[in-house]
Amino acid sequence: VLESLVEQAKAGDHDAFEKLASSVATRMFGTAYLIVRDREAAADAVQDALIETWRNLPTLRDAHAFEAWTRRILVRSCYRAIAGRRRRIEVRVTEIDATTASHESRFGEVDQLERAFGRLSPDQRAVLVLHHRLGLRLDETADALNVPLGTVKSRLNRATTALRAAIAAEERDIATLERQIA
Amino acid sequence: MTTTEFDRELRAWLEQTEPRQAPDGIVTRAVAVTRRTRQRRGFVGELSALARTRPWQAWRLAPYAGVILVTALLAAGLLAAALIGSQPRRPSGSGWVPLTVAAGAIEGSAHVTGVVTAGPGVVAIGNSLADGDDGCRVGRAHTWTSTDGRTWRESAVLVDANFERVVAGDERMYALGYSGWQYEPSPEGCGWGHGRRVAWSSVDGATWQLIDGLPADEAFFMTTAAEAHGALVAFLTEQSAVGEEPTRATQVWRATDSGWVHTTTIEDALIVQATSAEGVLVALGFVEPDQETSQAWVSSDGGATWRAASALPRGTQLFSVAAGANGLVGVGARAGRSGIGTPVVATSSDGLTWTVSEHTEGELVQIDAVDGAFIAASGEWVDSEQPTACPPPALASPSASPLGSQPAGSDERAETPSAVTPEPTECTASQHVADTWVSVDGIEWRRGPVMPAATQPLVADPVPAPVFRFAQSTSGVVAANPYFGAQVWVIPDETLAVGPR
Repeated sequence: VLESLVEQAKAGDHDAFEKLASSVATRMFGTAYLIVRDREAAADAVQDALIETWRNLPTLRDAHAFEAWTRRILVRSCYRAIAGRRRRIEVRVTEIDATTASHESRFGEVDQLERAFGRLSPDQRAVLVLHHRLGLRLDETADALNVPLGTVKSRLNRATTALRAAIAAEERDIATLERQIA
Repeated sequence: MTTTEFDRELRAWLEQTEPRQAPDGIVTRAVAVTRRTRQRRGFVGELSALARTRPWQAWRLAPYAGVILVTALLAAGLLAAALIGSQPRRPSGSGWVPLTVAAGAIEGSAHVTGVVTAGPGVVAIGNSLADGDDGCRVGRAHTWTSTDGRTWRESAVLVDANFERVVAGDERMYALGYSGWQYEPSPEGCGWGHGRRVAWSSVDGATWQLIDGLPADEAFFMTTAAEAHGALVAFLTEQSAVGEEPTRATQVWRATDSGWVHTTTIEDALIVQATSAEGVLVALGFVEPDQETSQAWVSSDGGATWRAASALPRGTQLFSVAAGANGLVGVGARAGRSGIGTPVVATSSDGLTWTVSEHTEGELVQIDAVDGAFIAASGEWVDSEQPTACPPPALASPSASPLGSQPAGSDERAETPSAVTPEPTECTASQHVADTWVSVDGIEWRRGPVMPAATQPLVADPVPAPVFRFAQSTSGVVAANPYFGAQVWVIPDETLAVGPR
């Protein structure tokens, strides 16, 4: 069905594209939010990505490659959204989806991991999300990020190391705070 | 928490955190814009549209025709280069012999994290987990030594410790890791481990001297280390929480008999690799915020002062560097406009000026110096349905079953009771295969036998390609990496160095 919609949208069918966009928007928004860490900026990124997808659809030769192709467009849009957000110098408010409230993890407090994840650079967040959340292979991750395979390997390694360090720093801060309160 | 457990927890958290629904109107607004936006149709699309509606405007196709012509020429060139440069992969399984360094109860829970030419011959370090009295698991750091690279025995066990890597020095070796290593209890059993960042020094691999005094702040993490002027020099990267993007600097610490001394801080630098040659320290990393192009620094006074090397070509990343008898060699990749990196090798005599050349025969991610020559490797996960993919069984070598009687260099597949991982059924999963390359000068490279490593049971979720470390023994080169348990691989020098390119 998806391939059929892609072919119709390629031919300029706006209604088919709307159905296509509706079918992928939630997943795109989820990915964008994990990378951007801001619902408004993530929504902007998804909208930009959908518009760019529409404009370039006729150049997509293989409808089966639609998902991977839009992923690459979305990652670029996320980077642009982050850059635009920085320029606006907005006050950042950490948002946690309501579904996270009941999640118990070895990481301890979820918001602790939320903050640690937020400390990572957009590049690091993107590689972790693509590889660990979307389950992309390393070569697919490299394709989505438009970087060499070696860069993905080193970036993934550094992102994991940085996340562990950030979690450790969070735990240390909490312990210090608890001691001060006591 | 092990790497696998950490990754699993991270995946679970990402799944929980991901919003289940996109905001209202997100598609409506985008579609409203697309209804006013013209699609890019390319040459064929524009041609058919113009032919139908405005044939007198055919001149508008001129830019498309130019682009197509240039693209065709480039494609022809790339195809020719690919045909000239392509080589069939040599059969795997010949040459490299997997050996288990740990025997007995700890074998299943141990993994080797490094190997080095030192002490009685060659020394492997690693860690194991054992059930503790508190219901959680207690980490232990191990040293296994061998005089010939084939027969291994356990030389030291440090309780509540963790060995991450080992560095060879002129007179002693250094193990880097954590003291007081404990796993946080959690409802599911054990949390992730933590401890105090330390190093140990040893002459023989059996007795280890603690070197303490690094910053307790866990926001610092040690990225690499090397020895110069008889002392270990470690690099600690600072991770700041200020702003959206972390700002980083690298602290340089020097180990002395009385502990660690902070020598200097290199601002805006993320140093990830280091080596030394005749007292000169060479560090590789990035100048923040550019993490796409590597930068080298050189110190001749044991890490107190640093001089930046001349810039590498933009987009050149060096993943690993080693010092051999004929200078310094780094391996990495250079980003291309298509996003597909070209493997590169960088050579230098002093660390300040580098010559970068392409290594189109294969990717290289790790390099070590063995007996003055260089050995580099790169690995990938492959579909084990290929007939060459099933790895030979590992052999238990330590005190339990000496392998000295077996012919050197043979491709042993002995059906011994102690043959261990992997289980035959795991051959249906993806399996790691490493290419190895050997060079004397970093310019001319010979491809060595492919090294088949352990099998990854889950095809859909392979871990990143592991990085091998190499050391020299009297039996040949010894390889190790932390992903594949208590194993090392050994290959005779003559098998590794000789072979068709």
